[in-house]
Formats: sequence, structure tokens, C-alpha cells
Amino acid sequence: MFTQNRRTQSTPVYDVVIVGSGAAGGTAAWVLVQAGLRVAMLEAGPLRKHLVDFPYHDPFPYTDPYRGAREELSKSEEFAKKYSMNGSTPEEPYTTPEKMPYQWFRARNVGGRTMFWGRFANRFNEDDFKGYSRDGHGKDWPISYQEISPYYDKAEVFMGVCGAKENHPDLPDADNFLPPVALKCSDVVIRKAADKAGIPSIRVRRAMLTKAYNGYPACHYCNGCDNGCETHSFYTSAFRQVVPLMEKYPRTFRLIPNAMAHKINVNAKGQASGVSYIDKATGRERTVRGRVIMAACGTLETTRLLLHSNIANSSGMVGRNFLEHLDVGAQAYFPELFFMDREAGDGIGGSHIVIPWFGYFRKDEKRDFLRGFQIEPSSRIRMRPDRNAKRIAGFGSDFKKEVRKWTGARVVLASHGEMLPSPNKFVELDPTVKDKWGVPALKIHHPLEENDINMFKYMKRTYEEIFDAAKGVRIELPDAPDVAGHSIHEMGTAHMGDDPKTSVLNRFNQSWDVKNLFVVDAASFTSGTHKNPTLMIMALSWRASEYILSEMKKRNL
Amino acid sequence: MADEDNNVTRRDALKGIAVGLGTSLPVLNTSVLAQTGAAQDGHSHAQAKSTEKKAPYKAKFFKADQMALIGTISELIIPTDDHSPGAIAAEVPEFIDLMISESPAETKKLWTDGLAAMEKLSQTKHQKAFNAASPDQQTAILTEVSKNEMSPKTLEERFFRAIKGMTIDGYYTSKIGIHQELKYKGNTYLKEFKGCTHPEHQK
Repeated sequence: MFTQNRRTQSTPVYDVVIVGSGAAGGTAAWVLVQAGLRVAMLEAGPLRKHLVDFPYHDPFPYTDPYRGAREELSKSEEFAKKYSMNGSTPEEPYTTPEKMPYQWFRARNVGGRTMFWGRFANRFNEDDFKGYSRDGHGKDWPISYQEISPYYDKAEVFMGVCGAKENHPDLPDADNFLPPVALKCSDVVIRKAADKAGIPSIRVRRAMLTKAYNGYPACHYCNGCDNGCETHSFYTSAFRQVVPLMEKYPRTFRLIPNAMAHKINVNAKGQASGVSYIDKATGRERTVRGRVIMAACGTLETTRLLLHSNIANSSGMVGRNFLEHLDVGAQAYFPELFFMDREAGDGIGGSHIVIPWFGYFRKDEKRDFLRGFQIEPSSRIRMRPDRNAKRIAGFGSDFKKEVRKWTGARVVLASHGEMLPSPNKFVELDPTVKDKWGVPALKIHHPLEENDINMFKYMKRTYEEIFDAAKGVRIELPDAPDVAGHSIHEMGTAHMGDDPKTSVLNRFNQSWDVKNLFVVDAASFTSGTHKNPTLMIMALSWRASEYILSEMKKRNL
Repeated sequence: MADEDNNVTRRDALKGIAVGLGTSLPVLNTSVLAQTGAAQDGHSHAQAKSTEKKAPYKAKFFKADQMALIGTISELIIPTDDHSPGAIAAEVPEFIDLMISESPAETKKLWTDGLAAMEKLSQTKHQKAFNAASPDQQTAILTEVSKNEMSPKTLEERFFRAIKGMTIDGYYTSKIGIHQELKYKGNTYLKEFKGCTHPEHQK
């Protein structure tokens, strides 16, 4: 019999135990708890308090007599450090082979990385599910666009995604967009330059509320999304799923924060029986039991959990099929934006346009790489001169004018490119290095390969085309892609497939080996595509959760 | 400010959540809201009244004549013009005094020596104190000491570099620099976003 008794070790058996509280875990809880299931959710970090544990708007420097020169006035770094780790840390290390750096950004708060995300909500298209059929690399997904599309709808309607129907071959339209946001000066100018280079752009699709929606206020255009949203006007799983569930379903939904899961336990029948975790407050090991276990820790953390639990890996594919996004950025100043009217404002944070993969318009072009990429342009109006004004010579009114000229005229183009799976790209448990609780650390192998390098060169040429079309000046092109992991889009290391011999999960994100174990984060992706993964994570988690409900009804789970 | 109609108070911006979440309000601590709301409403507008009849600034480090010279030079670097008020109105000399008063001895020496050297230069060239020289004469001196500003060598050149840097730091962090000169409108609560309204961008 289920009891909600937090004080005793005598353990209730939950219908579902979800490990992780980000987009995958939050969405699963949202579906399952509202359907009447009793759910426990483990999260390795604390629950951040609204209005307290976020910087929100930065203090203006003139509120401080030192104008921020003695002490950083913005608390954003401080909060980021408190609730996330950007790279290996002594307490929670990971390793990489020599000369193969990997930058792993891990969140440690309820809401996972949705507390830090870029809010893009782009759909995969039919081609994205069929990479193998198109070029013989990797695998086709075991599901089609038609099967996932209704779950895209659900996730979009739930979050609220602004955008417009554009009929672009790379990005399928949704039926339920919130109104698109008006284009900024920089968007208009970047779009014109891209058009000249023969590269169409579309209005951005972001999980931003451009009008009051489902009881949440519209965006207030402060452009400080990175600092957290005081009005919850963009989707985070913490404030749009987990906290509302805790308040509405205190008897059937239990959040266990500061719980570092390290092992999925399996019973004599080969079924998952629960999850062992370390209570970070006391250092004690505890266990939570469930009829179904869902791993939603974020791709690599989920993979580490599976490897350390030594389950669900009869295929040997856990940790393999490691997919990343190729991140490449460049910048230039656009003369059309000189002396830009900064009063026009900066809108919803980030650019209001996006450039989907344009290979569809270059059918006859011979390229020396496979797959495609998406360009996210940006140009932000900041509080202070965006280039060090100290580099501008002279003094007087002319100097002031020169500062006004450059401020706001900087355009950044950044891409996410699809990367092919490779036997050289994988993760494994490090044989010696352990975290502070004694759990083996992950060793991450992610070399750049020929396709990546060729795509990188093509990206640079594309940036040059766009910059040249805008007569851009002070152009800075990169010598190399950003360090692997920069995209914060790791995927694929426990992927779905049609064959239990070669894949980890079936078409419902269910382990082939352990029937009551589901992996619902981006570890389940068969291919990475060039699309931002969060919308797909939510769609898959929503679909897997509905499958769990129906299988429970049929007594298969 | 021209765009004031587009501003929403923090209280109004947050009110929407209270309505929206209904029962899920324990996370929204209204006393915190009231306190920080009052604080934020104060500094989210450029026209706050800091320049109204304040007691005259008492310098912490520089002497009165040095402060006057710093005022003149910083105002020459970022002057009041038809676009916006300059360094003195933005209280740059006061900022410089505060920062130098807490700087290492070496930095202090650069400033006192530098100011003295500027005086000497004015005496040599124009037989006048810097502050008594005409604007054209003052500008001529700054033009000379700013020749090598990206790789300064002489004391005067190094001093120019230092005072220009501090003037920039102080000016573009002031209310005038942020809101009047650069017309920054973000980091606050706006009702709507109109987007680009410039025909020259559209064509």
C-alpha cells in the first residue's frame, strides 16, 4: 500500500520513478501524474526558489558608486556556478583522452538544463528520421515524422511556441504557433544579406510567450532570459511542470531533490526494481522503488547510470552512437547597423530569425560533406558599448559619435551542424577516476572527423557569403570549430532502433533488455540531426509516457 | 523619457503570474515582491532624481585644483554636445576620485604626476594654467598627448590613456551614458515590442 511517509525508510513502491527533472523528466511527470499515477522524481540538485534563486534583471551599474568595477554587480555568474558545472570538477570529474577536449555542461537544479536553454523549438522533418536511407551512414529512426508529429503538437501547445507558418523544406510548420515576434533592425538587415546570398531565413520558433498564455504572462522584453525569467514567460520544466505538479498533487507526486542517482537496481526476474541514490545532504545511500523506471538525467549522465548499473546493454551500444552538434561561430560589423537606433529594443532575447538548412535549395551543388546545419544569427543591444570603446582612438564629440556608430552593429552567426556517428566517438566508464561518492567517472571520446571538418569549412564560406553581402567589416572567422560539447546537445548514447541486437531501446524508448526501464532523454536519439534537441526530447518523453499508461492498463507493465 | 508609456511596473508584470497559477502561489513571497519591487521601481528609470541638489562632492584623494583639472580633461574626452550631456554631468570626476583613492600607490603616482605634467605642458606651450587656457589650446594639448594612445610611452601619454580609460568606464556606466547617450531600453519591463520601424533597413 502506498503511503507518503518521508521520514521512514519503509519504502512505498511508486508507479514510476523518474531520474532527472529537465525537459524529459518534467514532461514525463506532467503526463503520468495527471493521469493518476504515483510518481517519484529524483534530481541531483536543489529546487530553486522563484524570486530568490535567480538574478533576473541585472542591477544598473550606476546603482553602485564603483559602477561595478570593484565587484561584479550581475549575479548571473554566481548563480550559474551554484547550479551548474561547465567542465570537469574535483567533486564530479570526467575525463577525456589527451588532446581531445570535451566541454560538458551539467545542470544541478530542478529543471535541469531547461533553466539555461536557448528556447529554440524546431521540428525534425521526414528526412531527419531517414539519414541511413539517404546516405548510408548511421541508422534510420524506428519512428517516422507522422508518428512523432502529434507529440510535437502536444509539446508546442503545452509550452507555447512563437513562430509562423513558413513552408520551409527543412522545418515543418506547426499548427499552433503563438504570434511571431516583430523583426528587430538587425534581423531585417541579416535577413536581407542572407537573401542576397541565396539563403532564406524564417521567423524564429522559440518557446517564448508572445502573449499571455495558459495563465502565464507574456514576455516583457527585458532580454535577460539567461538570468532566468521572473514571469515564467518561457518554458522551464521546473516552473511549468515540476512546481505546479508538486502543488496540485502533493499526495501522488514526490520530488526528491539533492539526490544523486547512481544505480538502477534489478530483481531476480531481470526487472528494474528501483533506483539507489546518495542523499547529498547526509551522504547516505537510499533507495526508491518503482514499477517502472525512467532515465531522464541528460544524455551522458543517463549513459553513466546505465553503464554503472550494468544493465540494458546486451547490444553493447550503451555509450556508442555518440552524437554531438558541430558548433561554429563568426562575427562581423554590418555598416547598415551603424548608429543603430537602440530604442527599437531587443525583443525576446536572441535573434527573431533563424536560417534552417538551405541545402534543399542547392540541389545541384556538389558538397564534400554529408547532412546539414542550421544558422542561428544574433545581434544584441547591450547596456554598454559592445566593443571595448577603449580601442577607438581620439576624444571629443567625434569619439562619442564613433562609439555610437559601432555599438549594436555587431552580428554573430553561429551554427549547429549534424555529426555522423563513428566508432571513434563514444563514452565509457573511466577505469580509475571516481566522483566524490565513489561512482566511476565518464571518459568522453569525441574526435573531429573528416565530415565535420569539411562541414566546418563550408560553414565558414557560408558566413563569408552572408558577411560579404552585407559589406560586413572587421570580420572574424574561426580557425576551428568550438570545442566539442559547446552546443550542450549531446545525444544518441542509448539509441532507439528496430533491432534489439544493435540498439538499446525499442520504438517507445523502452529498453529491449529490461522491459520496465525507459530512457526518455536525448540518449534515445537515433541520429542527431542539426535541430535543437529539446522539442524532440519532450515529444519522445510524452509519447513514451502515454505508452507506459497504455501498457499499464493492459497489465504489460 | 519618450518611451515611458511602454514601461510596465514590476508589480504589474508579476501580477499576471498570480492570476495564472492560481493555487500555486507559495513560491511567490509577496513581502519579497513588495521590497524588491520598491527598490527596482526606483532604479529602472533614467530620470531618477540623483542630480537634484546634492551636497557638493568631497574628494577623497585629489585636491580641489586636481579635481578641476580632471573635470576639464574628462569633459574634453566626452563632452556635452547636442546629443547628450558629457563626463562632468555624468559625475565622471567623482567616480575617478573614488577609484583612485582606493588604488595602489603606483597608480596614484601616475595620476598626480600626470596631472602635474599636463599643467606643466600648458605653462610651457601657452604660459597659462590648463584650466585658464582656451578650449582650442586645451584641445591642442590633448591632441599632442593622444598621438600614441594605443602604445603610450611618455608620462603624459600614459596619463592620457589612463584618464581616457577611466572616463569611458565612468561615463558608459552612468545614467546619462546608458540611457541618454546610448539610449538603452532593456533590462526592464516593457509592454510590447514594436520591432524595426526604419524604412532604410527595410529597403
